[in-house]
Amino acid sequence: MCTDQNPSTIMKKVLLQLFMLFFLCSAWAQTKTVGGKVTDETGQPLPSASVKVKGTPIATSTGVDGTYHLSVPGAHSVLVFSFVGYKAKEVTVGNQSQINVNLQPDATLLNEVVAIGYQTVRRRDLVGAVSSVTDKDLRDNPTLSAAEALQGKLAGVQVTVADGQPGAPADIYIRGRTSITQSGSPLYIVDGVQVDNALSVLSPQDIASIDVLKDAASTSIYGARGSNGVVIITTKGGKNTNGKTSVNYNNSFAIQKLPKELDVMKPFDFVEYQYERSKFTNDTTFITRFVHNSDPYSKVLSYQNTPFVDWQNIMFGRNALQQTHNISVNGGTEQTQYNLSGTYNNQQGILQYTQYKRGIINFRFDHQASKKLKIGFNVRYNNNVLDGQGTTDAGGAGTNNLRQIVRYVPIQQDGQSLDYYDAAEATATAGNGLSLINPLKELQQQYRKKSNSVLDLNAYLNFNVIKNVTIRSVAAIDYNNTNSRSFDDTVTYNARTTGAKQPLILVANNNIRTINNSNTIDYNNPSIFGSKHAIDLLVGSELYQTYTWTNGLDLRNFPIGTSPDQAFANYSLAQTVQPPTVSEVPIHNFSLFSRASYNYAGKYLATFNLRADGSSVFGPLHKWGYFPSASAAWRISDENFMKSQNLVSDLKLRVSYGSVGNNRISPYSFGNFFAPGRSYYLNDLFIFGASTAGLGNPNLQWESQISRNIGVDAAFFKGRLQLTVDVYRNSTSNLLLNNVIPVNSGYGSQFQNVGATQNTGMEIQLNGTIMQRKDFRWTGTFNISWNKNIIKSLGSQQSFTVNSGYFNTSQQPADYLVKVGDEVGTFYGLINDGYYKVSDFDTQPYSNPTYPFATTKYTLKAGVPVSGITSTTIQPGTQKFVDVNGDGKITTADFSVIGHALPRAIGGFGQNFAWKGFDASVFFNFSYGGKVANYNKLEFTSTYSNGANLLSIFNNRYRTVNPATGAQVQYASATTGAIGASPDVLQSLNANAKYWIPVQSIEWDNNQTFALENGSFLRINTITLGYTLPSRISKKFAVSNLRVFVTGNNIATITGYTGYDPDVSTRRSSPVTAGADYSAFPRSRMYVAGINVSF
Amino acid sequence: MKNNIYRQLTRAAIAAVIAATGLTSCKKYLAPDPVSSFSQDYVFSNLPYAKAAVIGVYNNLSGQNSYGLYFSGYYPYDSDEMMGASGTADGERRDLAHYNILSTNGGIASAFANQYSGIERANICIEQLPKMSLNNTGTTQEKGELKRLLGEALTLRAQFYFDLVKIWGDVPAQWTPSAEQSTLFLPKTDRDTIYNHILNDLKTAEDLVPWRTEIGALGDAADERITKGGVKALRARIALFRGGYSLRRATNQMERRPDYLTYYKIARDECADIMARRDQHTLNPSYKALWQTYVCGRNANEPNGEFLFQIAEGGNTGSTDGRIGVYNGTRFAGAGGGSLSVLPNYYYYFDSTDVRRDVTAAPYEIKTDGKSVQAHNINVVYDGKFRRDWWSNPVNPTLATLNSGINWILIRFSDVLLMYAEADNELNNGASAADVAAVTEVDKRGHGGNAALVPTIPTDHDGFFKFLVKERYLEFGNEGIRKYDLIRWNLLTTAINETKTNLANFGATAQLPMVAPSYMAPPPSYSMTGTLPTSLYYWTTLPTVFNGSNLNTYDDSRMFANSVYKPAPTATPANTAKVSWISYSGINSTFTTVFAGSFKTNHSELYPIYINQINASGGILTQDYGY
Repeated sequence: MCTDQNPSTIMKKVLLQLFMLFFLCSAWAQTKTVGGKVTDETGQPLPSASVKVKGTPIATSTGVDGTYHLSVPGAHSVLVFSFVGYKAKEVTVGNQSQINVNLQPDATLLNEVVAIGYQTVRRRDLVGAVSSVTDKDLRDNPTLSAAEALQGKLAGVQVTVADGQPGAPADIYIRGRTSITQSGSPLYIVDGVQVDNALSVLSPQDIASIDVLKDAASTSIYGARGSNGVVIITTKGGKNTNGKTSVNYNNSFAIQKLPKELDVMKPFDFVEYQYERSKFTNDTTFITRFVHNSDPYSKVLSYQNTPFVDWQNIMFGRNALQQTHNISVNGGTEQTQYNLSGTYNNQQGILQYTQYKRGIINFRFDHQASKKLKIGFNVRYNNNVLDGQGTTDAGGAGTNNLRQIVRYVPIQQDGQSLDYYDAAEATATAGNGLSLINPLKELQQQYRKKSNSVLDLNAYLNFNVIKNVTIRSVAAIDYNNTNSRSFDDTVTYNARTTGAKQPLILVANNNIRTINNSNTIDYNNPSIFGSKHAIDLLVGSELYQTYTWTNGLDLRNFPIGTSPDQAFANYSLAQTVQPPTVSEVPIHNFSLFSRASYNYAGKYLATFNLRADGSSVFGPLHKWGYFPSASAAWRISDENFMKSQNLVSDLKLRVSYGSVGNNRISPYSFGNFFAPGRSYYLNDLFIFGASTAGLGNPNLQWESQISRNIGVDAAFFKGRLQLTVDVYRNSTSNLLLNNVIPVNSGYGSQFQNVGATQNTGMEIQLNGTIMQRKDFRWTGTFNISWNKNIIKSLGSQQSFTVNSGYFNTSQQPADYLVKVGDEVGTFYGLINDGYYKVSDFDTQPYSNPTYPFATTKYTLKAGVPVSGITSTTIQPGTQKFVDVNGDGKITTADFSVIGHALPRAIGGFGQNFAWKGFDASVFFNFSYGGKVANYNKLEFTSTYSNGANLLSIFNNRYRTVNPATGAQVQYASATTGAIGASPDVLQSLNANAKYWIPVQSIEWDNNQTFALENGSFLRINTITLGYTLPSRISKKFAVSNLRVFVTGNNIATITGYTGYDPDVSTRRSSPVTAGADYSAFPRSRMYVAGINVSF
Repeated sequence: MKNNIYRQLTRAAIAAVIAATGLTSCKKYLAPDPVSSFSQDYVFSNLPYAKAAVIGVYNNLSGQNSYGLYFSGYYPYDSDEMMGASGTADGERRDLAHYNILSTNGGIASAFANQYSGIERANICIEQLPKMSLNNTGTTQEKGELKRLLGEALTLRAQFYFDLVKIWGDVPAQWTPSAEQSTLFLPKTDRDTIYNHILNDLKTAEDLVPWRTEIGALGDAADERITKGGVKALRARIALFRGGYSLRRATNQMERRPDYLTYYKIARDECADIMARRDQHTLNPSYKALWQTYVCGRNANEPNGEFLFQIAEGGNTGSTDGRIGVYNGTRFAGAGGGSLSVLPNYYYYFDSTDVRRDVTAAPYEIKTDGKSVQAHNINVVYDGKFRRDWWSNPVNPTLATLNSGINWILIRFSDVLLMYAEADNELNNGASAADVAAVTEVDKRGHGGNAALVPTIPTDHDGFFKFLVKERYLEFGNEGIRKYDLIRWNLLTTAINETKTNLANFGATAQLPMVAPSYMAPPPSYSMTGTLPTSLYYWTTLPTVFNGSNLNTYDDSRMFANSVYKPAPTATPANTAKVSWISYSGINSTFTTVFAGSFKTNHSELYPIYINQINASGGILTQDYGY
């Protein structure tokens, strides 16, 4: 930290500066004043464009309406107008006092400034692989999450939002998944400071630009956590408006709708199926509600005209509203700029009782304290509240609300309200915690409130010690506090299973304090001794520490009738108190780093990085890791031999090689540490007990990744068409793996450095100006990336399996395989083979007065594989799988690789049009070649819970009751074996049956090809139409700029996927379990109308 | 000016270097002390934390993954006394009970892992406790307490291994903490090796822990912690299993080792040691009080020391508390219970004067008024030892939580008496007077202390053994013992087959008499008449006088107006309501078609290892016994 400055010295300098400012202003008043307006190619005002007097420090920038005023020394002065992305224009003042200029886009964008970590460079001088978006690219996406707005926009960046719940977290994967079981999320740097999950704490409106660093050349400066890529976010700062205040207001309203429902059985099909179920299970507890014992089947038939209670429509069908207000006040002078912005979002989820509210205040202040010293600070406060339970619960099937919504009885009985709680049904289906509960009632009784507040304070100091030498110091402290409250009233799963059917509450707090400080000294000489040799040297240190407090309360048995508010305000009403849980975990990191950049005439460029990271998460033997990288670029288009042609206007070749690391493991995994919470109740009194929390591994060390990249940046036709192509191979070794270890160890897993993965891929980004006329401009953008992941080694093992836990976290056959030679996200399961046909059985005559319909006994023919997957008796119509290992039995030994979750290619493309005041854009994104495990479908076609509805595709099932007559034709039990009517009767009844008899036990928790579906999709992500009022009209209302727009989001998705949405990942704790769709909150379609106003 | 700049630059550089080196040289910055966890060195540097580590081992005994549910409610069924959860196949608990077990059955996953978690915790304690400096520097009391803790850790580890071997046969065995193992990929160890190891451990532990009444000298209060009697009784029990039959991996046959008598001797001697200390452990005179006053009364300190080893459940969390009496047992005002059923042939094995019948079987539930009874049909007779209407301390029979806080009793003194008799009969090839006396003591208590009601006990080896098979049947119903007794005697197949026959006989429309089993002494003759009542009539309004005594409160033994052994009256007696009994069709649908439906001999005696655990072993762990 540069703490050397004497505070009084600084103070003196500031005062002097203020004095000078005053003096100078009056002095300049003597000189000539010019004013005017800067517009873009379409005539729209360009705010924040820079206006400089050439060869002097005199400068200003335009206001929101594009106007400027500047005092110039005299008529000979030359004004330079410039704006990022536009070609600069020079105008000699002469005797003009009004100078209006029209800037033309500089399609090469080469002067755009790109953040590369502790520094920025012009894109022209970039040697690494960096993709960028600016606020313009984010503008048209109405979602509250900046992450969602990035979807499909950047080559090599995959954004998967968990599901459609408001405030749902997003996973961003840059160039595939390098780690196997550790977090694959990139490092986020906001204005020079590490911020976790930055894209969810920032308002998209506050973001000026996002730069994504993809290769080691660019990320190794962040060594420690660089292996997953680095996302650098710059927020909007103030501008020099000559003291004028500029006010911007953005407002949008949106309506969200459920785009698609799952097709479930209608009342008649439902009752008819339940009738059939009661016949083959002998369990009549449910069917007797609909069919009384006398004359039962005519009663079934009477349900043909019963109104269908469409639970999905009741629960998800509403027009959910969303509104966004964003107001920013900014301005400044040459010396001081500020930007104060406030954002308020209010979003209803399409699911009843869900709502997300967010308020963000962002204040950024930059001040040139002296010629040499620039200081600034940034305060950001984000408060967001999520109400409502949603549908997702990574805990398993028991607490999955979606299954209630899809599966609950689709019939409203006489005299029952829509939210009627059927206690008998809940009890009858209590097995495995899968009680069927009226979804409306259940959600009414599940109170959930998750409040999160984030306060970020950061400040920087930039000290220009001497020419070419700059010291920069950034310090930040960040408080991230989350308070989760849940209240479960009498009928909920929690109240029934742990709360004695009395209300209970859970209160959890998770508070993280982060301190981050980085200090750099930079020596930058663009021309050594006047030569064409340029050099830039940077050394620095960084400290990053977190302190995490968590605590939880579990209070039960509140008096029935207690409201959530009363319960949270009166803990003493709880009759049962679980021991409170508390934990505090410190993590300390300290790093030293350096970078040397060299270029010759802007033509030959090279950069070297070296970073050393020390982290407290590793044991004494392996605290430090070292991460070097080197990269070089050659601007071929600057060579003489390129000068003679017009086709290629710019051509640059980049190569990089380097190493980065990863330390994202649980702290203290290196040793055997004891944790409390293993108590025992002697004489019914709590006795404190402790045991090792996990199996420590003293040899744990940094995961390291070697990254290789070759890239070409090219522009054609004077910059009208730009192309970036990157090819890379990233090899990760010493993979940090929470590795499954044998059960006899007493632990499930241990952090180990085992194995290696490799990601190889190619990215293409194409931007073009397709048409450019006076009033009309049409541009297009396209990107695509391919990535191939391969697991090269798993240490001493060849493979292990992973249970995604969608049904039950511990008691479910593993559904993912991690195997050498295969890739991350490999599905492991059985191969469906339809069902056992009547012809698979030998027959013999049968008679039993209890089963008068049965004339034939069916015994499986020798040679037909016997299913050990089903625990019910095998009969014609029983679900069948392929006997992969050929041992004549279908067992879990027949599990094999059945698909891969990761897409082969992802990308997006868009078109932008501007005509006079109108603008229009359409953006598509796509994913190709990945599979999704539709576990919803697996569960929703099974019949473990008596009375649960099924997907309508199972109307086409194998029948054991003749639907025309209601006559039972087949039965099976352990005692009787499979018995039924004659084979021709069974066969003709099921001649066209496509599916098996719905599985009765929980064997649907075996992953199988039936669940796997092609997850490829092409989505119309956004369509926007906007109109900007000509400024001559808006001026009359004292408005400098006014734009109205309508946007549609998630307008249509072309996909073969039968679930709600193929872009889903609900078991996200590890990258291994990618592509599992269970209990996801369906994504909504959104229609937005909005207005942007500037004063 | 230039000088000034250089001075500033130098100062800044020096400051940066100082800041940097100040932090780096300070290694401490990169090693912050953990605040929410404790290093192993710290834990084993003082007595309270060392004790906490042993409590952490006890923790693995309680909770749902252990005796709180799996080992009490799921695994010990179906046997000739009780049937587990009824209903259609579910891939879980019902399939476990009826031997329809696949290696994907989630019900076998957590308990297996829990035992090894306990073993690891015990291994750490067994390694660290003797190294503590307090062993040398502590007070006598502290040294004594450390010895007790070590003895407890050894005993707990033995119990965890015993459960593993009993349920899964040969399993991997590791006797040192995982952190010190050269490899964690271990193959199965032969169960005899494991048994021998834990029998030796228990021999060591016996001398480390005090007798029940001697713990005061260590400053310890009376509670569920293990004492010398418990260690010895466990050693006796394990010795009988070591000397008994089990399904062997090599042959896939039920076998017992030729040297089995060596282990019967261990069992006899350990039991004799305990029986010689009646000041420490003896029978409570009332069989009913054991369950009503102490177990359901949540009072761990039965004054006679009948409970030699019990598992403390409490705290209402899945990891520390159990579902005993919640998963099973009768219902109270609609709350809980009902997953386990008493078989009709078991109900009729008790003679009319055996008080244990109405403690073990509860053919009723309590209605929503909280007092009046609703009798049940014969196919819904629940186990009674943990019944809700006996719950007290606190009285909370309608508690609908998953957990009851009711302790599981692992070994009772009557087991010590019967193990002694069994082992001695085997060693002497016939029963001695002491053996007869031991069985008589148990049976007499079972008949309310009336010696006249104890049947004649044969003294020839086979006759005495069969009597003992019956006595254990009547004494230990629903205590998780019967199925494993039958396995070690190699009688499970016989018992299941003969039970199926008798269930069919009871369920036949025209009642068929119960057939006396071949493997144990017969039931009372009046249970085998074939004229048992087809209906029972229970009091809806209580008579003032019943069987000559005042009856002003409900009493489970006097619930019915007619005898359960004689044909029912043709007319419904006044103030009663009817339930269906023998020949009721529900017997067939509940029991006959379901009971042990998928049992296969030389297969079902052991469980498979859960598929994910096999997969995690890298091919080292094998799946045996035809799974």
